[in-house]
Amino acid sequence: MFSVFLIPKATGSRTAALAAWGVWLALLAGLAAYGLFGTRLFVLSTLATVFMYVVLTQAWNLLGGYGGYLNFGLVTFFGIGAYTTGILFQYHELSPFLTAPLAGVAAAIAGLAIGIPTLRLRGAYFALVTMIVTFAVQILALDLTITQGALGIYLPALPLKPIAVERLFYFVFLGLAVLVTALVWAVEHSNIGWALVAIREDEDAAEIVGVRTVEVKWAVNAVTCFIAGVVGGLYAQRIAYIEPTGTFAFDISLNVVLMAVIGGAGFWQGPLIGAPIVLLVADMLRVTVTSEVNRVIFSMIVILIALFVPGGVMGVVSRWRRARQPKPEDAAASGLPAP
Amino acid sequence: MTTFDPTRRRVLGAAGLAAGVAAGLALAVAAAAPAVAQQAPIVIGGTLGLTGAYAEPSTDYKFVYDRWLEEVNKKGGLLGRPVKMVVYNDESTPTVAQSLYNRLLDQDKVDIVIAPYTTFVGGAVVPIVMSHGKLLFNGGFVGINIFRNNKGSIIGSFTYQEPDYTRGLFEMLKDLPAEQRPKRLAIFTSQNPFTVVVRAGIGGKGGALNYAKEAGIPVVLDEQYPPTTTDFNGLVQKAKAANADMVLALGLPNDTLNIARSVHQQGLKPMVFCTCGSQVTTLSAWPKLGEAAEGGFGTTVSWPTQGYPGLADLAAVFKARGYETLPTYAIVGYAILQVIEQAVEGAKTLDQEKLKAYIHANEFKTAAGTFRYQDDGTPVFSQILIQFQNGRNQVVWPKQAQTAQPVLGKP
Repeated sequence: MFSVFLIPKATGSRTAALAAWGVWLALLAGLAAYGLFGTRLFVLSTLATVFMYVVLTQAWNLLGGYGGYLNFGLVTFFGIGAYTTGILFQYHELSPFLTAPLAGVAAAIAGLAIGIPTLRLRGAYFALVTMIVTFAVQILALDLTITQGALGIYLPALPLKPIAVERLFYFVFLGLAVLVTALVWAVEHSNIGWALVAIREDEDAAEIVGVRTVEVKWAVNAVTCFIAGVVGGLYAQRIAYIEPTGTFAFDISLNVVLMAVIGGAGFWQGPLIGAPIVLLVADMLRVTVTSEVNRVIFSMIVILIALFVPGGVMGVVSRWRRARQPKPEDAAASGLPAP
Repeated sequence: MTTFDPTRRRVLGAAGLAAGVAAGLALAVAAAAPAVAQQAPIVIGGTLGLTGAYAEPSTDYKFVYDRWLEEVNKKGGLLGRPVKMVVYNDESTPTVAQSLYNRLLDQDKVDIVIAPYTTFVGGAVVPIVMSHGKLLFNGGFVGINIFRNNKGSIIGSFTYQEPDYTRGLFEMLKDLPAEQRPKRLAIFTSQNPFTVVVRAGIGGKGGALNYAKEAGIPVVLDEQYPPTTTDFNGLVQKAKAANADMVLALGLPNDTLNIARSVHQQGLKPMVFCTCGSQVTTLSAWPKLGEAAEGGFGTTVSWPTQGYPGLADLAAVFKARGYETLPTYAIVGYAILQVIEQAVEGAKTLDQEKLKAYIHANEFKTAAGTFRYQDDGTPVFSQILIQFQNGRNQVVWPKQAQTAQPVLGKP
C-alpha cells in the first residue's frame, strides 16, 4: 500500500538534543525507581492512571495531533477493548492480561469499519461523527445480551494485595506508555509522520503531491484504535467492573483531547506533559475544593491555557526554540551554510 | 588536570533536573492529599455525587452526615475519640469515585468506609474497598447481587433491594377486588444497573414483570431507555396507544421527573402511576411538579409516624428546610451512621472482622427501622408505599402504617 521509512529530522544542536534525551531518560528512571520502591498506594494508583492516559493521548495524537483530525470518539475503541476482555472472561474465563491483544484487534477492526466511511469526512463533520458513534456503540452495549446490558460485567479481583495490584498496573501502563511514545516518535520521524502533517496542513495539496491520504488515515486510525483497545482491555481488569455508561463515558474522550491540546498536539512530548497536568490538577482541585467550584476553577484553567498558550506547552517550547535558532544572516556571518 | 566537557555537564545537569522532576511529581501527588489529623480521631470516609446527575440526593446525604457528625461529637464521639468525616465529591462519575476511594483508603487512612450514592457509582468502588479488607457501610445504593457476591461485608440500610422495589405496590393492588385493579401495564425502565433489576428481578424472583404476572396484570408495553434520555413524549405516546391504565417509571430522579411531566402533559391518565425506581416522590423536586405530581405512587423505607429513633427529629429538621416529606436518602444515610455508631460502641473496636461479626449477630435501632441483618448484609425487607394526595405524601401501604386510603385514577 505504502512504504514506511525513517527520515532524519534536525531539531537543533546535538548538545540540546542530548540534554533533552537525558531529561526524558532520567524522568523514566525516576518513575521506574518510584514504581519499584514507592510504598504509597495512592501515588502508585494515580500515576498508573496518568500513564494510562499518556498511552491513550499518544494514540489519539497520531491522527488528531499530526493528522489534524479532531476525534472525539476514542472512548468507543477503549470501551470495545474493555468489553472484549470482559466478555472473554465472562464466557470463557480468559484473563484480560492474555486477551488484551485480542481487545486491540477487535478495536482495530471496529476502527477500520467505522473509519472507512468516516475518514472521508473532514473538519467538524468528522468530529461530529466520532461523537455520534460513541453514543451509538454505548446504546448497543446497553441493549446487547452478550454485554449483560446495563447490569455490566464483573471481573475477578487479582489475588494480590492492593499495593501489589497498583504496582502491577503502574508498570503495565508505564511500559505501554514508553512503547507507544517510541512508536509516536518513530512516526513523527517517518514519511508517515510527514504525510500526516501534510494532510493536516492541506489535504488536497497532499494528495496532489502523491500522499495516499485515505489509506494513510485508515492505517493510522487502525493503529490508534488497536492501542485504545489494548488499554481498555487492561482497564477492565484494573477496575474489575465494566458497564456501558462509565466505560463509554464521553469524559474519557474529552480528557484525552484536553491532554493533547494542553501538552501540545502533534508533538510526541505533548501527551507526556498534558496527561499529568490535566489529571493531577483536576485531582488536586477535587480534594482541596470539594464543592462544585472545583469544576469551575478547572474550566477556568483550561480556558486560560487555550487563550494564552496556543499550541499547548510544546507549542511554547517550539516557538522558544525557533526564536533561539540563529537567523540566516547570523549563520552566514558564522560561516555556517544557510538552511 | 581535570577538564569539564560543557556538553557532558549540560546532559548530566539536565538528567539531574529530570530525576528531581520525577521525584517531585511523586511528591506532588502525595502532597495533594489532606494531612491526616494529629489527634487520632476516628475517620469515616466516602464520596457523594455533589455535582453532576446525582447532586440532589447527594446533597441530602451530605446534610444528614453533617448533622450526625455534630450529634455524635457532642455526645463525646465514638470509643471516647472524636469523629471526623471525609466526604469527597465524586462528580457522579464511577472512575472519579474509584480514584477517590483509593485516596480515602491509602492516603486518608479512613477507619470506616461509607458508600457513594447509587448503584452505578457504588458498584465500581466495591472491589477497591473489599481489596483493602474493609467493610462497606452502604446507605447509598441497592444491588442484591453486589451484596451477595461480597458475603456480608457490605452492610446496607436500604430496607428493600431492587427486586422488591415494586413489591409493596403489587401487594396493595392484590388487596383490591379484581375488577378494581388496573388491567394494562406499561413499564418504562432506565438502562441502569439497578433499575433493570427492579424491572426483571433476579433468577426469576421479584421484579415488576414477575409481580405483574403474579397479580394477573398483563404488560402491554415494556420499554427501556438510555440513562441520558430527556424526552419521553414518544414513550408516553406509545403507552397511550396501548391503552395502558397502569404506568411504572423505573428510573433515577431526573428522568423520572421528566416522565411524570410528560405523562401529565400528554394527557395520559392511568389508574396507577408509580415512580417505583428511585424514591423521587420523597424529594423536594416532586411537589414542584404541581398537578403532574398529584396521585403519583412511590416508595420509601420508613415514615415519621412509625416512631423509629431519630426519625421524627430528622423529619422536623427537613421540614424546617422546606421539605414536606423526609427524603428516603436522608433516612438511609442517617440510618447507616446509626448502625456504625451502635456497632462500634457495641463491639468496642474498629477491627473490621469483629465489627462484621457483631453486626451480623445483633439488632440495630435506626431511623429506617430495627435492622436484623441477613447473611448477605441486607436488612430484612420492609417498605412503605406512599401516594401524593392533595399536595402531600400519604402512606397507603402497609395497613398498619397507613395514613390515607389509596386513590386510583379514573382513566
